[in-house]
Amino acid sequence: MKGQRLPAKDHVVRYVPFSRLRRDENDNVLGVLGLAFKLRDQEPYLSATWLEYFPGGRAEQVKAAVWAIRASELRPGGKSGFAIGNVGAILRVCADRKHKIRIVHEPEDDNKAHVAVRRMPRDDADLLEILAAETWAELVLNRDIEPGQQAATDKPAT
Amino acid sequence: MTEVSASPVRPHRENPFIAIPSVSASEYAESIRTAMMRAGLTQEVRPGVAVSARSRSLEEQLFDSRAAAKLRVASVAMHLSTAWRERFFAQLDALLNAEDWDRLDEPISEKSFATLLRLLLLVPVKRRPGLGATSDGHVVAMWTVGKNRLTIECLPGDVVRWAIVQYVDRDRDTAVGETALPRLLDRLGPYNPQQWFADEGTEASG
Repeated sequence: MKGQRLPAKDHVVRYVPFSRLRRDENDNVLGVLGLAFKLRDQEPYLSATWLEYFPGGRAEQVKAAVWAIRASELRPGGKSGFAIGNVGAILRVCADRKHKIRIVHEPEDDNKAHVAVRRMPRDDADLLEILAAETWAELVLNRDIEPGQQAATDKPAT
Repeated sequence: MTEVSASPVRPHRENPFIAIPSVSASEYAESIRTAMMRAGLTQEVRPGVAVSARSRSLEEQLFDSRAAAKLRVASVAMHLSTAWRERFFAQLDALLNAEDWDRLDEPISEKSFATLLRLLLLVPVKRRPGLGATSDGHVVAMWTVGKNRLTIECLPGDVVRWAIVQYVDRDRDTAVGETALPRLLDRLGPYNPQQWFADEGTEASG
């Protein structure tokens, strides 16, 4: 349902371009940068994809979410990644820093599983580092998900 | 947390701490330019020309950004080993590759890259950083040791934004700040920056 707040137990998946992946001097990927969660100047919310929108076990959900992102206008590059975070944990760490964010299902034409993370602060670099280091830190690389793409269906699995 | 002071190998001087000559002044820069032309990269590189003009394709903008960065490196080649430069160039090629570049991002500006170069020459960095970029055209240097992370965003004009996540036992410390480049080591001092800078890494010798 559009505008629905995501359950705390659910997860969100954020596309992270190669330039915002944490890498070592030999370009081995180690994680994501805090900057991966920074709003652009004109961006009203942070975009992500609802993992539990898709049916199946965890692996099937991750694959379906990545396929949906590939099918969207984002067109992620081959060396990009996807950061996965638990909704409740993200809300909690933001609340600890006095930010009342909202994580809301806001389907878009090119991604019906699209989520908007609203009220993200623009000036809390500490928060972004904490998200990247601990809270929104599970990383899946695009290259590790089997080739293919498929847009999300109109209705969620649950 | 125990504070450990940085022990810079090179003297810390107030700016101007290093002079990066104009790119056209370096014979090495000219040889790079010539080699790129011979390699079929026939587009003339004009250092100093803004790289963010939206009238050109993303590929052209990234080409210019990459070339300008390499010419900057070439202009200080005497301070860097050949192996270091070659690996750094490979990092730049990977970072500024159009296939993996977010189309909404600004290519890295030459002024931001100049700050990165000065950072690498000023700070006693033995280990090359990982390289990233912000959406608004700033190059990012990153070092990671275990769970401890240092991230430095290079702004034009020798200004840097730094962020640290460090664990002492199970306690997490975070710190962020913005400072002029000559004061960076002083700001990082309480966090033992040598943990990130001192190790040459597994393949960084040369």
